[in-house]
Amino acid sequence: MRRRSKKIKTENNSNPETSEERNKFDEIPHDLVIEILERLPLKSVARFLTVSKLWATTIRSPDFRKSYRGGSSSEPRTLIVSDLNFKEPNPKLHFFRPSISSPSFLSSLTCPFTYPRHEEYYYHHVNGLISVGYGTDQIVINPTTGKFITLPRPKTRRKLVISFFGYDSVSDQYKVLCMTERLRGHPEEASSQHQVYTLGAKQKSWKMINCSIPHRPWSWNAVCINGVVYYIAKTGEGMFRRCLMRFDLKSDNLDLCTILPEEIQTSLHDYFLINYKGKVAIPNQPNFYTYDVWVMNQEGGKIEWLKNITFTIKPRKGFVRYLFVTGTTHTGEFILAPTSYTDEFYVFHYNPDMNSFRKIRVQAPGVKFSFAQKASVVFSDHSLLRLDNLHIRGSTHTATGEFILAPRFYSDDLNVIHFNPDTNSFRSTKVEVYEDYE
Amino acid sequence: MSSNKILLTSSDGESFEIDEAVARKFLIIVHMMEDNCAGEAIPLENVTGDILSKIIEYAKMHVNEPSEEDEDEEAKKNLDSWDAKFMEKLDLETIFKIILAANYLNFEGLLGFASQTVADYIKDKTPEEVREIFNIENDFTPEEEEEIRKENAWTFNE
Repeated sequence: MRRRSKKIKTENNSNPETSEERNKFDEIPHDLVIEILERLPLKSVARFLTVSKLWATTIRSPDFRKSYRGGSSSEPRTLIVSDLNFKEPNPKLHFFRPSISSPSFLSSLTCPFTYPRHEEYYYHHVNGLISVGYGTDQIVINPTTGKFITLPRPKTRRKLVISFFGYDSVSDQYKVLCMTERLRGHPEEASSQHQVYTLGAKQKSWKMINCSIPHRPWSWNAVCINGVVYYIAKTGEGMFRRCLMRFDLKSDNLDLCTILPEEIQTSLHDYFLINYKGKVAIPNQPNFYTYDVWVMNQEGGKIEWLKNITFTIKPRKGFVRYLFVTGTTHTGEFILAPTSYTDEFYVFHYNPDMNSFRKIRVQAPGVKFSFAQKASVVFSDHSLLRLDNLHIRGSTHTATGEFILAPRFYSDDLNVIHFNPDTNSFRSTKVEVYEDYE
Repeated sequence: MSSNKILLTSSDGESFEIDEAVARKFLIIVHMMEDNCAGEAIPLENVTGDILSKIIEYAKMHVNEPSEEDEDEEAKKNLDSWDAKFMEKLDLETIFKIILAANYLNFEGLLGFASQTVADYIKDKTPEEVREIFNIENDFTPEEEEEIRKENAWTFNE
């Protein structure tokens, strides 16, 4: 029986004695190799791209991306982005995934630009990449690797830049759509200077486009379905009517899709768009515990809004946190997340067919979060595996490979959590440690 | 409880008599049983006796698979611990054979577990070591390999 020794690196096919035993190993057909690949952690999968061209092609295939389990089974593919205290000059972003079994750290990076005081920032995730817009600074991040590319500045002198991000699978293109508003402009003033940037295109500049409908973007997120980006905007006389705008990546056409249903025209909450079974949907909360999900049906050129799903959460003892619907899983469950976290990171999954709730936690064993903590964004059902090259530059910054989780707001303790992705362990330290990492 | 016994014969002529409930873990047998008359031995052409005996051992322990919502933490922990010991004793070659056999028998539970075991075994290995294990030839040029390594440099951090 041939013994494997980790210390000795043997050459391929050099030992004739064991060639017969070696034959057993070639018998593993490639589809069973895939069963093994699917269960590897991301780091390993990325490393094994260089094993052979067949492995590289397999790992990069859309089928593999769909069936990849990330090292454990039946995991919800929700992504949490945690960002640090905004008083930091360069915000750090940390990507991880809540898991039933163990914390899944993906990557972390330091944004190359200073966190602005007065502008808003826009995060969008589409097909495995995340775009972040801070004023005229626009980057696109790959959360799997923590690498990003910096886009050229949009053509504007203004500081208030709104951005959206989309992907079209037919042309395999990612595009960023930007528009600007005057910082101290009139609330009825429409957005302008609409422009598009196509990633990876030969022409590395922003293309100005026309928009015939004057509007002001009015949702802090958008959804991209079948190569069309949808977002909510105010239009019409006095910028009063809330409607859905659509940006078609194939034609670079930006126009009005439809008006929002009357019942949610005057919603008090922020609008949040989600993808429900391939359709644009808007969750609405008529009261604290009830959720209505409005789904937009586009059939044969006719558009109508249907209040497809209504569900109520039973008020739980000791749990009075406001939850908002942040998306759906590929199995049709709704993902709900709180707007702020204290003790632990978690999301809820609601299954409309079984009317059941379950809580998915990010494991942080032995750690007491003693302050109010805020995860900046929760992305839902995010396709995680995107290992292609996009002319990437930049890298992650932590010296020892740990990443730092810190709160947005501090109360008494200035605590910082260190997460070591190799040992999957958390430890809590005082904030002075920051200096080591800069 | 059904005390029906099923007779299985391995490719090298070894016979195994097992409970029907255990045999039903192998979906290929479920199909064969429907076609087969009761009492006849079921031949398994693609599995040798030594591997089949291991697979049966595993199947017997997992006959009463606890459901996901099962509150019995103790039982789950014991089963996990048994599973771990089961794999620990086996060398990689045997585990590969088990994967092939579990695939042939359509024994989903063991196929997944064995695949996970191999995944855990190789996850920290270098691509060169992995090529050795699977007997794969490196068809990248050094330049191509270097380019991919550069893109994914973060995975090679020590």
